Amino acid sequence: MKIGGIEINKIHDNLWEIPAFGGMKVPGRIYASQKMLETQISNDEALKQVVNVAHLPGIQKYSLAMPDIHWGYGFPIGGVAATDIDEGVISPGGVGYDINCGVRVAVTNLEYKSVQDKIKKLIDSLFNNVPTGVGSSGAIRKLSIKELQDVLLKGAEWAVENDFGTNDDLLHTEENGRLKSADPSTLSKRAIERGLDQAGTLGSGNHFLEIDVVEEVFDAEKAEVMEIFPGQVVIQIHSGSRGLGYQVCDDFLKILVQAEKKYGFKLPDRQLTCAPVKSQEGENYLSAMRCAGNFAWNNRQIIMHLTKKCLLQTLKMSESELGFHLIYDVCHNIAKIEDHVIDGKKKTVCVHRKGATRAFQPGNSQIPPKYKSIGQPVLIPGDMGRYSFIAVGTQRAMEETFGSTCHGAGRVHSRHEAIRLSKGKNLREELDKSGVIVQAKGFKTIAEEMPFAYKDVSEVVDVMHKAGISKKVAKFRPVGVIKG
Amino acid sequence: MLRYRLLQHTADIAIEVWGNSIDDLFKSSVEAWLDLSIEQKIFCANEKKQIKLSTTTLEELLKEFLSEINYMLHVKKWLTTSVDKISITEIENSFVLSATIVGEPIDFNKYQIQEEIKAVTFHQLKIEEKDNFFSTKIVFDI
Repeated sequence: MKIGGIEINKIHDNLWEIPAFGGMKVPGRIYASQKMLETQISNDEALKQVVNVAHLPGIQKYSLAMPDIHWGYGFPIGGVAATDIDEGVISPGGVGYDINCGVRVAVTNLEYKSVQDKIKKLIDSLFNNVPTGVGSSGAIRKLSIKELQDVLLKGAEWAVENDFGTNDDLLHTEENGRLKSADPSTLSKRAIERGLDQAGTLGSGNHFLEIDVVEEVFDAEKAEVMEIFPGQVVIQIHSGSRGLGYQVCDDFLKILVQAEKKYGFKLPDRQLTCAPVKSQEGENYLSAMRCAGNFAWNNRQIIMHLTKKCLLQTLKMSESELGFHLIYDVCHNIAKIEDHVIDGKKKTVCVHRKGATRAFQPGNSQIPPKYKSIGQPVLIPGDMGRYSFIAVGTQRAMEETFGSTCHGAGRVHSRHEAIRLSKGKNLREELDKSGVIVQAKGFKTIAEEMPFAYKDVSEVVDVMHKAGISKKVAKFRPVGVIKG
Repeated sequence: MLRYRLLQHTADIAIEVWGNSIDDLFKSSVEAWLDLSIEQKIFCANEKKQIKLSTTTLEELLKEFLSEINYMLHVKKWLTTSVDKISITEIENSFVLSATIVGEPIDFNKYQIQEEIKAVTFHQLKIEEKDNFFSTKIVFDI
């Protein structure tokens, strides 16, 4: 069939292929149901962007798209591309502005029914202690430049060294919360300036801190390994590298636009601007991106620690009674140097995941010992009114998607439409009636983030489950949310 | 009267902006940025600042100009409310902007941020001219 003039062939019910044409170096592959493809994905320029990404020098196998794909900057959001590290390129558009935007989920010993009447108090306490909203700052004291450089180098290790967490938290964070080969001198003065007072802040937009309840367990064996049980209270944190990350992206887009002319790349879209992975410009971007990634891990680690303190104080419990600990932390906007098997041979590639989550298989050396037998936990947040999912990576993901899967729901209505459709409604009351207590800086954020503005995340997760890329373990339902 | 309109974009904010000259297009772009960024619509600031920029294309210049103003708001907490003077000249394969902007340190008791613009992107940014009428699309990452 043809969508928006692009020929697209069915591989199976949940996988579609755009055969290579023109300057495409590889075919495009999209994980989606036919319904999603025809009614959602066809609505914007995302498919064209899948085609554009296939033009990148050194791209391997396929330009991939996850089912939550939508129109992004250069790459679609939900795009995955691996490039050869010797002959290929790195593109900031394949990472995005919010470098290492990601999610972490922590569990507790609490059963929802025993704390149901305290959720309002907990949400108020979290809202007062975790800075949210535009330009939020002051979660911890303002850092000195030297301290910030240390954060950029060490990531979540800095937080743990400064009593904002434990070594066990690091063990259960992707890359142990620290990307190596991060040199803070590759960041501009402006990027540093933007990071000084934003450590431990949630930010605005779709970032959130949620109290969830485990509503359904799909795979009891794997859930047990993760210490998840029905009715349990869990905490979910979604945040990124804040202004520092945006500045790194912006700075390097400028540098790479110039580099592109130097290397003579001919790309169909200026936003795909890139440099060879092994060039000075490419290496500097990778280094700065890793610094921003480390900033984000430190950020989520501090937010989690502030959250734990709020729970302990509000519920007047001991640490052992609360049993608060991290299940896992994933990033969904990043580029990483990884080994993958391509055409039967091991190859080192630069995997761009923009709005996509790493989903490594059982036994992979990169995942914590606790999860070796079940595969890497994958955290997929939905909208604030419905549900989120936890899944695990598979061998099939390694074979088909460079060990990657979906990252969330994706919007169906623009922010302005969502506000327009919310006019005259008492949104807090509506959410309250559906069992979700919300605290946010204003009406506008709540309106923009209302459940109807998002796709149903269960459809996204089901596509990847049926395709065998990531397997569902449990579903969470929100009961309390703080938003920026 | 504002000289921009919103375009359909699911995740970010896309606008089309216009003006009677290049200088005027840059001015109306700042007005659009202000209208999107801040809830209040009446301003009476009178501090002045100078901005000087140089790039190889006009599109880069517009992106840099708006990025600078956005940076001043979100990092320096200084709100630009209008463009007093602006001149854009082409000198030996580069475009040079010299502008005097008007604004004030932002008082959050007086003004609310309506939209936190993370970045001004190159997405669909292409300045077009027809019969001395200039226009471009701009996508703000939010």
